[in-house]
Amino acid sequence: MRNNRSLDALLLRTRQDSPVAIFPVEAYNNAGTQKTQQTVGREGGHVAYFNFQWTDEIVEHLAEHGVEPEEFEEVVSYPDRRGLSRSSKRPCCWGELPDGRSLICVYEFIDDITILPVTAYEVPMPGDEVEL
Amino acid sequence: MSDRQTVPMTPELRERWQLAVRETEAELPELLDMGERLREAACEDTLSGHLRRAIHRSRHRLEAIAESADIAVEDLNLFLSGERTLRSDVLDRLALAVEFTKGLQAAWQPPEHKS
Repeated sequence: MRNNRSLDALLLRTRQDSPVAIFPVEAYNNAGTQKTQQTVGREGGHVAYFNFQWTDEIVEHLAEHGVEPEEFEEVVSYPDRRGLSRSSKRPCCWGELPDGRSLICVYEFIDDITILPVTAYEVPMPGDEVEL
Repeated sequence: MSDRQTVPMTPELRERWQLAVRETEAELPELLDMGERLREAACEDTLSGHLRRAIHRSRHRLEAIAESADIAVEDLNLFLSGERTLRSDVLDRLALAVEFTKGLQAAWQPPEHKS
């Protein structure tokens, strides 16, 4: 069983100019019973580890919004901005994808490194015309 | 469809997720507005703007950063969105929490002494 301390010890620094890479690897959550997906990513010189708790329902829900799990993980791993919603205090982040789309991703922490994806929406880029 | 591995959703987890989706849908206009405020505040070419960007890039959770700086996470959230200013000692602790000063130290050059 892995614990947060051992995973935290795996946090690595990378060069600022190193290529961005996401390496999906199999990992076990803290209960040590269920396989989840772990994303290793670069975030402003840091490498962040998250386990994303994907279920069929969540994947289907995101697909309805035109968002793939890989895209969700990328935005959460390399956010441009982070915040907490005022009402629910739920963490959310904003980021851009390589194809130019901008997403808001909302999630919950199951534990320190395990994320339950909630939902995601494509949001207009600054300066884009918004139809009212 | 993604070929990503998924796990079965327990009834408890489904209930938690469905509630989160409903609440998020209800607060979406507020979230979009907050996203714009966060962007504008992070784009400031000021010390606060640089610190906000360092916080956004940090691998630490906002709750952990706020705890390190001895402030409420709600206050940190308001600072990030530019709606609250913080005392200089709090800014110092935030800078330490996200290792903001390491970049400054690397860029700092000692002044040349005039003889």
